[in-house]
Amino acid sequence: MSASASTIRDLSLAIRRMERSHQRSRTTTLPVLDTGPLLQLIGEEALPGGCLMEWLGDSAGAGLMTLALESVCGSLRDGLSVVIDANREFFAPGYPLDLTRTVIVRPESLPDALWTLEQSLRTPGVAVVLSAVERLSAAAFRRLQLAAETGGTLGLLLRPERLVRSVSFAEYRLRARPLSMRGRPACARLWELELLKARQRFEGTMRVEQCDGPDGRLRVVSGVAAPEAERHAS
Amino acid sequence: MVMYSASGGRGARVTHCSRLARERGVRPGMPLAEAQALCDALSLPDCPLFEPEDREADVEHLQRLACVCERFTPLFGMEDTDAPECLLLDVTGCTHLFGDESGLLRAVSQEFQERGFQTRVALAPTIGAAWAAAHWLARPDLQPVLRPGPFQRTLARLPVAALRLPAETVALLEELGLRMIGQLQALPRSSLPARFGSGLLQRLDQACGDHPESLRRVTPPEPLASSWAGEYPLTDRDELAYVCRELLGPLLERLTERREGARQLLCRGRSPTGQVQEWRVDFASPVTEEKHLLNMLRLQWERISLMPEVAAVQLEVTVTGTLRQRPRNLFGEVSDDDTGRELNGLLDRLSNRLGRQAVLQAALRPEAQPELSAAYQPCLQPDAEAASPVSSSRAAASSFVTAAARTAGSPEVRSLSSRQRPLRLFPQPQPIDVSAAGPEGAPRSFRWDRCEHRVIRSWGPERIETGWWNEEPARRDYFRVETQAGLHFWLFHELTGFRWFVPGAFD
Repeated sequence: MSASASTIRDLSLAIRRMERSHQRSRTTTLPVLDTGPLLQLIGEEALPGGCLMEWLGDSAGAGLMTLALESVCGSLRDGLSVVIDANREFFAPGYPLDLTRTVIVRPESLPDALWTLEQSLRTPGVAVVLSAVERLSAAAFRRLQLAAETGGTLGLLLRPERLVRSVSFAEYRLRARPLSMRGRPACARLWELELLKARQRFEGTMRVEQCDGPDGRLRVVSGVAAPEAERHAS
Repeated sequence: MVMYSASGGRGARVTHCSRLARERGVRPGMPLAEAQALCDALSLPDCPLFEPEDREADVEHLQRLACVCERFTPLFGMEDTDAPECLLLDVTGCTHLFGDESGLLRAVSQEFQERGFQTRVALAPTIGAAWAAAHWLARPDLQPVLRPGPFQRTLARLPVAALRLPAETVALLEELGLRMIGQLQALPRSSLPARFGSGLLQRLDQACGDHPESLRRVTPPEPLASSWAGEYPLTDRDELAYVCRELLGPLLERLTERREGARQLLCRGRSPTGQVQEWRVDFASPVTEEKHLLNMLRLQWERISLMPEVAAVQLEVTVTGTLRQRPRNLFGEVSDDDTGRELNGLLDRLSNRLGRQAVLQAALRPEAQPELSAAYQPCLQPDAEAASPVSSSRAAASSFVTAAARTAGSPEVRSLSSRQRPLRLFPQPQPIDVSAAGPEGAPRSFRWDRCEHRVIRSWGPERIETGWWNEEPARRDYFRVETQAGLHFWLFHELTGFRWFVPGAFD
């Protein structure tokens, strides 16, 4: 290869790199349609892309997946959603996002599930990836975080509450606990949402309810409070 | 299915319809609105699908079907009209390979039946007679054979429409009382052209074998295949990848000349003992990049273990798609900032590493029974896509969403809010012990997964009953319940066996 051809090739690669870095910065913030309770809690103006959001919670029927999906539901307009359904229990009629823009992946093993998660997070054009992940080494977690940054994708990781003290590379960590709705017949569900880690705010708790009706939007019942202040008030 | 066209100048009219639509009174030539009214009036769940006619696509598909007949004879084609509907096979000298004429016809019929087509097949000494026999004598279970001697007597008993005449000529002949071909043959030949045009005599002679008629032949595309056989067998993946790269070069050159890309690639390896292993790679959009093709093959080799020694390799592009024009950048390279391409690449990687059945797209179905209310289809279906060539990678990126959009977008399917259904449905409803307020009342408490759950609120019952014609009809009362801990479950009470189950949870 001649020197001039080599120079032209280097230049073309440099331009392509610059274009890619510009694209990445463009996709790090997803378009915001409303300032939902999640944004209020995490202290951001817009739902961020290119990061991991870890949701900690327990028990079947606790609504962790519902809460995670409903939180981003109003903010997603473009891009593909990927749901990693390793247990083969995902039920499409209950899914609040657009099914026509959703791919459901059913890996057979944990390595395949992690590989799928990383590949999906790394792909520009994928808006959100949802996956229940229990066992995750620190190295694997870090790889996922880097993949999300590369692709500008928002990763929603659903994890058991007992992992609250484990190492996390997620930029946002939230713990959700379902609460009984006795005495509030108009509303469907109530959760206590605790922010464990965030870019802006580092602690806070709020109560979020999901109303009955076809839109089923989330709404803040009680505002953001630091745990100590709340404990003192109670 | 009902096909319609608006090209006649009299508004949209039905051109073709399926047996199901015909049973509901739909007929070709009927105004589209009338056909829709007939189907809507019954408001049955399996309402026929209305699609506009696309003649070019029909001809292309018929050409592909004609190529299927290559296994019966080297000479095959289509009827020579603007809207061909008939495949013609010159089976001279080929019948003994299938036993006899009837054996050949049975094999043809079976071949198309396996592909989901109902056919009427007939054998005759001339194209015209074969066309007439296939349209007027054949049935799906009966394939007539007209022999060279007596076939003219059989032909004489067929209606004049069997001569492939224009509809106006047939109508005129019937008006004059000339209903059968035999009646036409009895008339003086010299008087026919003046009254009915020269076409009538030509068709009559073609059917009887007095006028030659040639076959409009379909030439099958040359297979896109390339093979290698070495003196020493290959023993690892890198060697195999090197050979595949060498084989892909000429294949990709031929594809580029045809302005096409690979949608499906088949790689066959043969061991020194003759054992054959096959790897199939599918793509979401037509691909011409050697690196991407090789990467997908490597993913397959990771998934399916390789045979220890490979003595011969064959690569074949079994499904192709048309490439779209992509803008080139300053350096003459094809721009690679297309999000659709990235998404297609993701689908390719996932499907080829995990298997096509693991990468799915969901579509809602108009079924009351929850287990049947969603269908999960593989995102990559290159065989189906082959019927409609992909013209752009953006179209390819969105092609996998079309099936879901077709059902999920329909109002009757989307009548339920997603919040009324759980996000998690167990593979089988799990039996539970329930304490309820009366035989058909709401549950008060239940035991599931070794835990006692006390119900504080419940919504329901939502009665779901399926028809007796279903294999396993369901009669159930569904309740959504909230437990004291704030957990939400979906329960149902089986009305036939008086048992309670938990089919899913509002996770």
